[in-house]
Amino acid sequence: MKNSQMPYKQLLLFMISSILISIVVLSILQKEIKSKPAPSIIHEAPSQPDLTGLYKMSISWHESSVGQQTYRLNADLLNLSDKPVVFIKSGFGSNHSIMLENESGQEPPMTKQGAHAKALFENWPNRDQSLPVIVLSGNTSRETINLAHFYELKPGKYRLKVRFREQLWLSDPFSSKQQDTFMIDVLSNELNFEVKK
Amino acid sequence: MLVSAYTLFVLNVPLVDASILIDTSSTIYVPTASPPPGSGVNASVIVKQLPPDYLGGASSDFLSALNTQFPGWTFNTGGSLNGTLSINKYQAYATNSGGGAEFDAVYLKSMTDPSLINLHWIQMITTNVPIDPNAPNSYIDPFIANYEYPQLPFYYSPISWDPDYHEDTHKNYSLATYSFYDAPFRNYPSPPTSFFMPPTGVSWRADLILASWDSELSGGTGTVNLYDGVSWGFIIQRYPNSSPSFYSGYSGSIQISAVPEPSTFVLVLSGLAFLTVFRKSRVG
Repeated sequence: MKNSQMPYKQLLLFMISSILISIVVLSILQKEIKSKPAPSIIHEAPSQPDLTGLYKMSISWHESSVGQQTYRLNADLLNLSDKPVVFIKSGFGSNHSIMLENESGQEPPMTKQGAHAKALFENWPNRDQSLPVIVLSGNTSRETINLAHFYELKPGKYRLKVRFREQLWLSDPFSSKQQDTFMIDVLSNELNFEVKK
Repeated sequence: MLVSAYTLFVLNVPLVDASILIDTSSTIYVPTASPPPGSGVNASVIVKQLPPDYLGGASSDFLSALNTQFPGWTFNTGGSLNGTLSINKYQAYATNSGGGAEFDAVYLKSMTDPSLINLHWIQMITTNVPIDPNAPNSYIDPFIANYEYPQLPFYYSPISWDPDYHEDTHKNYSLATYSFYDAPFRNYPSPPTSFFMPPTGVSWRADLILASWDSELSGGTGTVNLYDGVSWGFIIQRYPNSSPSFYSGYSGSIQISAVPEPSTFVLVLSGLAFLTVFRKSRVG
């Protein structure tokens, strides 16, 4: 027991040497680390491709609605890219948002169906009734609705746009790979119309 | 991921005088799916077993959902059909943000069934995450039928403006077949906050049955006969995250290499120095 006790002189020597060694090692390491590059990103996240002008949403009145006050509306997604794309169709509401304003810039009251459609859009990408739709290069996917089923349209002037937000795939959306997928979020042209008495 | 084409057999379902046969002999069956690597999500999507459960008819919940969503309609129960329901695909799928099941089937009508033009699919969903937050936990799918009038209780509609949802697109009169396709999706729930907590989950079950309607409407309502069908669906289980999510909601994958901090080296070398000096002092 006596032999294992360290004299004060040796303890002091040990402490000083430890501190000195620590300082030397720390300075060497800091120098080495400074010269190293920043932590490397091994797999770089894929960037969103430039989609400008490749996918267009346009709205128009269905031919049976022109002058008939039935407000049957076509919403067309046009694929101007050079590749076919797939998206999951699930009723109009889940991926389309109707933007309607009256003359005073207010959104008119919604019907029960309109409120349901809005809830689906806000709840995206959750969906029940689904089927994949392939839109070939240069082709259009059309969905048709009756605007009067979504809003209580009273006499007056209105401005209308439709927003389409959806994930597109360049391959089978349900395959395990799902490599080529990207989001689009596009606004349609504007339609101005009047509901007469 | 297990993908197996079942070289099974035509499954004979309950021994009753008449019932739908469920054929899984060429089903593409994927029982489970996981989020893509690098998503930072620790979850699994599991579909119900193959073959799906046979349903002898509409349950009381099914009838209740029909009567709630389609007041004034008459729904008769008790019948069953004689054709064959072939399941082409029944597979789990998973993305970075959620998952679901793809179910693809076709019904081959028998001679004794009602005429194909009068046959319709009706599907009830039971889930803890309704597609519309205002919907009950059990509801007829779609909850609001394709925004068209009159509202019909069928999955595909004989009055749909959209050909994809029109029943004629899915009926083949020369082959006497009627196909069904669905691929529901739900977001992953929030993960448990502790490894000691059970996984959080989403359950989604469909009761899919065939029905007949004579296309007659009286005051916007009609009479429907409900037959037999199948129950299918999926669950999602979410576990505590095994690693921090660096890119929440982004589809890319990211991995950062670990570099030990200087203090680690200093600590180790100090310890070695201490041992050396201590040993020397003892020897001395």
